Amino acid sequence: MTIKKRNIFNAFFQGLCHGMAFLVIAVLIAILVKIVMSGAGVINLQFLIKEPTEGMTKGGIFPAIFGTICITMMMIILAIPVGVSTAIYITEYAGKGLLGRIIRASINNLAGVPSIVFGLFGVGFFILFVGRGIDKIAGFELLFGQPAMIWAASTLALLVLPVIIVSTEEAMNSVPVSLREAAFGLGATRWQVIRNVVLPQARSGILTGAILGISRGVGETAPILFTGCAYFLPRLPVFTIPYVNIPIINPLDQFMGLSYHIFIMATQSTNTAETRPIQYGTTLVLIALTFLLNLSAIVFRIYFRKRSR
Amino acid sequence: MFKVNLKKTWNNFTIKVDFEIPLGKVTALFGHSGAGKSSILRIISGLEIADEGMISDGKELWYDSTKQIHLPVQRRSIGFVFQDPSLFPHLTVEKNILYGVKGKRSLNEIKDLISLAGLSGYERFYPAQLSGGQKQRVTLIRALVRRPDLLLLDEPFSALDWEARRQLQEDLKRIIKQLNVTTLYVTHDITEVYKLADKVVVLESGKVLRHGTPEDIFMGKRLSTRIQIVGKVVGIESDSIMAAVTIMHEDQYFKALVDAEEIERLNLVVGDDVVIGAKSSDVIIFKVLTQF
Amino acid sequence: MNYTSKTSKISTSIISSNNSTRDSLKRFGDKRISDLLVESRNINVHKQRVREFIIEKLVFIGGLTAIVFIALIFIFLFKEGVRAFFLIKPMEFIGTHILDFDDNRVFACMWQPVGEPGKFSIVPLLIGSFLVALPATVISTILGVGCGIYLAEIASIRMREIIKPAIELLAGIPTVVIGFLCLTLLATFIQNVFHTTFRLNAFVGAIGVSLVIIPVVASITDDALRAVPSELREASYGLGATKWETIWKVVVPAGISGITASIILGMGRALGETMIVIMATGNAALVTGNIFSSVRTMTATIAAELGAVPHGSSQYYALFLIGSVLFLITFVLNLIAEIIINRMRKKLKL
Repeated sequence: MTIKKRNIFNAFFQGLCHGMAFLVIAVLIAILVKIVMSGAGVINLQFLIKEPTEGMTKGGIFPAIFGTICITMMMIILAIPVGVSTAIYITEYAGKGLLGRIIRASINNLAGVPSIVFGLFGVGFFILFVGRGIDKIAGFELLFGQPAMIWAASTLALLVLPVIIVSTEEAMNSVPVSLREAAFGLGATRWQVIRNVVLPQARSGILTGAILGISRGVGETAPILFTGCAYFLPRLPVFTIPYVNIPIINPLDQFMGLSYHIFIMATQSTNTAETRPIQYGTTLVLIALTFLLNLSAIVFRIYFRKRSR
Repeated sequence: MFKVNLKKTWNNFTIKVDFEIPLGKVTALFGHSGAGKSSILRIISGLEIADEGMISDGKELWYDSTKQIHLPVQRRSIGFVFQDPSLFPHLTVEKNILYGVKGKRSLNEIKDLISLAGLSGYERFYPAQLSGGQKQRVTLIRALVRRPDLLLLDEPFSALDWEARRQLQEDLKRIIKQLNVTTLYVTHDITEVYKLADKVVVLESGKVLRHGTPEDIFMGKRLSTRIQIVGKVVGIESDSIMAAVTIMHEDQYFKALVDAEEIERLNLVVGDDVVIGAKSSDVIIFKVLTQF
Repeated sequence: MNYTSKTSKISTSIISSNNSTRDSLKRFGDKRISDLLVESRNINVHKQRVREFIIEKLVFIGGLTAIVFIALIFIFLFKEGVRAFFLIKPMEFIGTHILDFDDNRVFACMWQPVGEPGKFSIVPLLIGSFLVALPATVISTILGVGCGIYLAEIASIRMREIIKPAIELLAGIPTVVIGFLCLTLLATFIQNVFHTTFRLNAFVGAIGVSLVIIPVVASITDDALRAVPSELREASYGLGATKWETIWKVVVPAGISGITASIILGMGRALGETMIVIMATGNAALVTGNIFSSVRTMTATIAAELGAVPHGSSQYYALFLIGSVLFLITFVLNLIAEIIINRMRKKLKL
């Protein structure tokens, strides 16, 4: 092959790769533009604060926003302690031994489980086994053994666990060994070193992992399909403590959620065409929430990196 | 004759050199670590670009900052062997060597080159199965099979043990001589200069200190002595009359007793590269009495 | 390294380098490490040992959760799934004999659990899953590897700083949103271009799924290619190769294990994708090879039917069985990918 031909091939294939990258970006931009254009018209303060009315054709999506935020908060409260202690265990205690490798393999497999399988597990284990088990032991009729926020949050926490573990592990590994050795040399116990030396340095990574986990949890639908999400609920999942009149979230209630709302409204509601604008509006809210979370994770990462210099 | 005239500045470091590479000969680019030797080699190869200057192979301009000419690496007729082995791990020795040349015409040619390098029988091996020395041989042949106008070597054997290194230095000399390749050899080991170079360019802090034949470098003295040991001073113990100088030649140590005045006259310090010579009239041989 | 957790004596032998000494004087807030530790050493040593022990045990329990829950998923899925074999004959999971329109007895593979009698062939569902996952994998391999090559080898540093986060952004879009857009926009577009019979079909689903997988393949390919040492590229240029020849003949082969692993992981994700397929593929359990036909995947079946199924019925257990099969397939694929990645890591140390 002549040099000229080879140079033509060179330019052509490099251009092809250029093209593919730009195609993907173009699709991304098209998606975002479409959602913003079709959804922005519906967004106003009322949309975000009010409840849906008249069979979902009018009103707002506040309960869905509220539900998504509640379930995500519960999810992260469950996931962080477990995730961080797993990360502590594998970085500080188990290390390269057999147990450490099994745990790491399990984490990788957990990360690869399809989301609907988590949903199945949520039903089969959390609701039917744990929930009904609690009912049986405590003598309730059917209190814990049915779809509820606590079970949906647990299922989501399981899904998000690998994200937390990996971020925390990375953050802990970035703490230099010399720092730990110094602490040990001064007589610290292992836990003291972890608590006073390693974890404070790893705070940024844990926070980033938490935010990334939250952003995943916000967008997942399949795990919450049967574990507690509902399309229409007459009231918010809170109950007010009598006498003091303080509202607190009721973890045994069902909830409405943004992703589920979009799904049902687009596929199974009675007038999908009429509610299309609301569907786009809800999508816009969901996307905005997801991107805000991803953005803050990036910002935090940069901020902490600058601070540690 | 290759002409090299370069200037380049990084953060606080500037190299500014001007030298020639005679055709068909081995030119050593000698200097201590950090003198800029490897950078110059990379600029000559085209992997990096100088700030200003000119590189010419005697017929064609490879680089000229005033005329905005920069011939890319692929178009220069060069071959290079760097310190780290760069064999393609997914190709056999044979395929590695043939990478730079297309067509079957060179199949016989490589057979000769392969045996010249002592690699006969290893054609189907993969790089992972070869020793460090064998890898560098393959890299060398791979570079030479294209008949480059200039062969660039950057401390190619410094990662090997001394046995392999000595062997490869000999083989390299043999191969270069047989193929008559113009070679530029970067090294910080004075012994290699002495063994391989026809011409030396000494680099210090990015500038050419002096250049000439290896003898010119060794203080211009004609070495009409019987024993010559080239090496680096690693120890000096002296009192007012005598001094014991320990020098390291490759991986061996030699100790020489000289007048203390010599140390002062030469301004000798640890780290200097020296040649220790003894005239035949001064040489005494003893047989160590280990047998009766 | 062997740390004893019970000592509280200063052992200077452990301080091994200047770094350690310097770091021990490093400040955390207003206190130095030494101050923090002197403080904590003043507490009752025994109480401290008990606390340390309890905390270690808690961390250990927390650390085991990953293993425990993977095992539990296995157990609970298979526990309920195996029950299906008690209520349904194993042969029926492939197909049953039915009478067709001309009253001939034929062997058909149908998934119709609420039929009379219920039909539980998993064949149309498997076909549906693969009819979506395979094209999606092909599309995302081409585009994903192309993007990966672009990011690692071709893009300038500034371009890379824009495009790589953008691709990660694509990965962050919730799948329900992509499914929604496939349902509303993409399906119509495909129908206009290809004149399909079914508006919602496997092809629409495949494109939607590939949007989710492309970032995965691109990201791992990018990592794998960047791990190839620069000496190899330089050597290739020195031997006269153009940039593309270097990429195609040296860099990609050197990083091929990472690329392969990413493709396998991608396929696993494609098979496990739920929301996009349930919204975009039409949900008709047909046995067909036509990519423009409506199909029903395993994931969509579970998602669509688990809500309405009576607990304890054959269909209920059959759904868990499908879940088990799905879990098994993705588990094996992930395992293969992991083995390849581990082998790649070992080879790079050579």
